[in-house]
Amino acid sequence: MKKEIIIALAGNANVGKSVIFNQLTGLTQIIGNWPGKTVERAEGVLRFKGRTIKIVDLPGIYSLSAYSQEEIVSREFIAFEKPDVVINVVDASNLERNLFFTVQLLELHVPMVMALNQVDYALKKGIDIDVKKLEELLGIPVVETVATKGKGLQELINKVLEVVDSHKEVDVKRYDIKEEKVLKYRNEVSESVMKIYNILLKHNVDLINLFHPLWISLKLIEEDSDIVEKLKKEPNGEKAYEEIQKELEGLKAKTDNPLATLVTADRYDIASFIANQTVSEIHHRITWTDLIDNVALHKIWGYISMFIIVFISFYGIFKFGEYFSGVLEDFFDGFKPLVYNLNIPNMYKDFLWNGLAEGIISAITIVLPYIFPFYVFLSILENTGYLARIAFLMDEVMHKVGLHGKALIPVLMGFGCNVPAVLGTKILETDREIFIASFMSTLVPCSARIVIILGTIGVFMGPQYALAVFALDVLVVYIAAYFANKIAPGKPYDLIMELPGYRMPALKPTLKQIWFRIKDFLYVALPIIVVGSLVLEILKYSGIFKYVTYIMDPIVVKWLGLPSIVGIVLIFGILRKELTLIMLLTLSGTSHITQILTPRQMIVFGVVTMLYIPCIATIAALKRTIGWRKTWWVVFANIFIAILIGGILNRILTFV
Amino acid sequence: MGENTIINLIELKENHEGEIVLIKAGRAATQRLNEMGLVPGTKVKLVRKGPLRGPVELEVRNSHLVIGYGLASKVYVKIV
Repeated sequence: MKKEIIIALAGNANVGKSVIFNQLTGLTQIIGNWPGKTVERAEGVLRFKGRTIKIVDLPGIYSLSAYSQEEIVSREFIAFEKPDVVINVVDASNLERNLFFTVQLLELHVPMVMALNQVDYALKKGIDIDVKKLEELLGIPVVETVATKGKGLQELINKVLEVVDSHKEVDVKRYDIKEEKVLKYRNEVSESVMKIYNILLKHNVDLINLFHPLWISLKLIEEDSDIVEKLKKEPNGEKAYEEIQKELEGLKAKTDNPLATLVTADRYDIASFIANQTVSEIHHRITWTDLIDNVALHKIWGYISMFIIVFISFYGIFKFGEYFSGVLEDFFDGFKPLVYNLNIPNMYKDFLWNGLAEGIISAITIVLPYIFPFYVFLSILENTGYLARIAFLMDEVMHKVGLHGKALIPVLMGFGCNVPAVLGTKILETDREIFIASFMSTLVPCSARIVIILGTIGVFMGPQYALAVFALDVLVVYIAAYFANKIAPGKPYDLIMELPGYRMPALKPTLKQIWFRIKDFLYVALPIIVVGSLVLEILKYSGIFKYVTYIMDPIVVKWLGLPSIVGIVLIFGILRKELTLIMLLTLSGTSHITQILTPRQMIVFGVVTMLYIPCIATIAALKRTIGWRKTWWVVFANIFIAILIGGILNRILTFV
Repeated sequence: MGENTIINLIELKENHEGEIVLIKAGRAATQRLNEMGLVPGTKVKLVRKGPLRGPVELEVRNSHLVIGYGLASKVYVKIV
C-alpha cells in the first residue's frame, strides 16, 4: 500500500476546482509559481486514513495543447511528476464542454477519478445526469460533489485511494486503438494514430513512456510544436518525424481544414456522444442568468449598472483602506518614542525606526487595509461571474491597448493602492496582458499621490488644476499602455471566453485563499521593503546625498525647474509617496508649500511625484507578478515618462 | 438572405442561428476557437452583440461563449 500519494486536480476554469482544493487541503496550502513560469502553483497536503496525500491544483484550462503556459505546465506535470491519480473536476451543469477536456485526459491513460461538481446547480437548471452510465462509458469512477458545501469529498478521496491501490501499469508497447471503448475517432484519424504509433515503436522513441502513445500520436497529427520539438531531440527523432510527415500527407489531402481541427472535432463528437447518453433531460427554461444578463449586458443599462457596482465597491474599498491605514499608522507611530528614547546614538535610532520598522509598518498599513478588501471584492467579482460581464462590456475599450475588459478592475484599483492593483493583474490570461496592465497600474495615482496633488495643487491653486493634472494622468496611462502594447513581445489576441452562469460565492474557501495570497506576498515583499529602507538610511548617513544632488541637479533644476532639494525628496518618496511632501516641508523648515514652490513648480512637482517611480512596496508587488527584469523596465519607463512630461510641462507653463 | 447563405458571425442577427462552416483565422486562434467548441458543423445561436465593435455572445453546446469582434468576423456560418 502506497503511503505517500500525489494527486492533481485538473479541469476547466470556473468549475469549483479551487474550492475542492481548499476544502481538501485546509490550512496546509503553499501558493507559489511553477518553476520558470509566472503561472501560480498551489499545493497542499491531506492526511487521510494514515496516508499522506499531496494535492496539486493545476491551472483551469480547456485543453492540453501548447498555446498557453497553463496548458504546458499542466501536461508537463502529468508527464514528469506522474501523479498517482488525476481528479478531473467537471461542472455538471455544463457537461459537454467539460468532457472535451476529460477526453484528453483519457487519451493520456492516466489513473483518473471524476468529480462531477455543482450537481445541485445542475439540478436547478433541470439537468439530470446518469452517473452509472457515465462511469460505464468513461471507465473511471465518477463521484457527485457539491464542493462549496463539502458534499461528496470524503467519497471522492475514498475512490482516489481505490484507484491508487488497484492501479496497474499501462503497457505502452502493446497498444491498439480498436480496444478503446469510448475514444472513437474518424477512421482516417484512427488509422493515422496506429501508423504513427508503429513508427514511434520502430524508432524506439522514448516519448511514449512520458505520454501515452495515443495522446502523442494525436498531438503529432495536430502538429503540436512542443511535442514535435521533443520528438526531434530524440536519437532517431528526426527520422521518425520525417516518416510521420509523409504519413500525414495523405490525411491532409483529404480535407480543407487543418488537421488539428479534425482531431478537435472528433474529441467534441466523443464529448457530445457521452453527454447525449448521460444527460437525460434539459428543459430549456429561462434561467436567472438569462434574466440578469438582459440588464447586465445591455447596451445602455449594462454600462450604467457596471458603473454603479464598480463605483460603490471601490468607494467602499478606498474608504475602508483609508480609515484602517490611518488607524494602523497611529497605532504603530505610538511605538516611535520607544525607539527614540533608547540610549543609543541617533544614527542607530534612525536605522531601527526608518530603516527597519517603517518598512514593515508601511507594508502592513498598506497590505491589510487595501489588499484585503480588494481581494475580497475581486474574488466576489470572479466567483459570481460578474467579472466576465465586465470583460464583455469593456472589451472594445481595452482591446486598443492589447488588453481584455477584465483588466479595467486591477487598473482602477490603482487609484486606491498600486500594490493590490499589480497583484490583481493575475486575473488576466497571458504574461503579456499582465505586464501591460501592471505597467498601467503603476502610473495610476494611488491615494497617497492623490493626497499630495490635492494638498498642493488643489489647496493652493484650486481644485480645477488638480483635476486637470488627473485628466493628464489618464491620458498618460492610456498612451503609455498603447506603447507598451506596441513593444511587448507577442501579439494581443481577441477575446474568447466562456460566459459562466451567476453563482453565489462560497465565503470560507474564498477567505482562505485570500489569506494565502497575502501571506505569499508578505514573504516576497517584506525583505525587499526592509532592505530598500535600510539602504536609503545608510546612504543618508554616508553623506552621499551631497553628490546625489550634484548628479540630479541638471535634471531637477535645469530641466524640471524645481529647487535642488526636491531631488533628495524624490529619492525618499520611493519608500512611501507621502514622504515627498512631508520631507519637502521639513527639509525647507517651513509649513507653507507656497514659500518653496511657485504654482508652476507645484504642478511640475505634483506630476513628477505622480509618475516617477513605483513605491518600494509596488516594486515588490511587481517583482512577485512579472519578475525582476520586467520590473526594472517598468521602473525606468516610469522615471523616463515623469522626466519627459515634467520637463515639457515646465516649458509650456513658463509661457502661460 | 435565403438558405445556405454564408455570412460571418458579426453579420448574423441577434437570436438567429447558424452552423459553422469555416474559420478563417490564424492557426493558434483557429485552434482556440475549435477547443472552445466551435468546429465545422457546430450549431450556434447569436445571443447578443456588444455596442459598436464590441464582442458577440453565442450560445453553443448548451453554454455561452463571448468572442471578440475581430475574431467573430473570421468565423463563417451557414444560416439554418
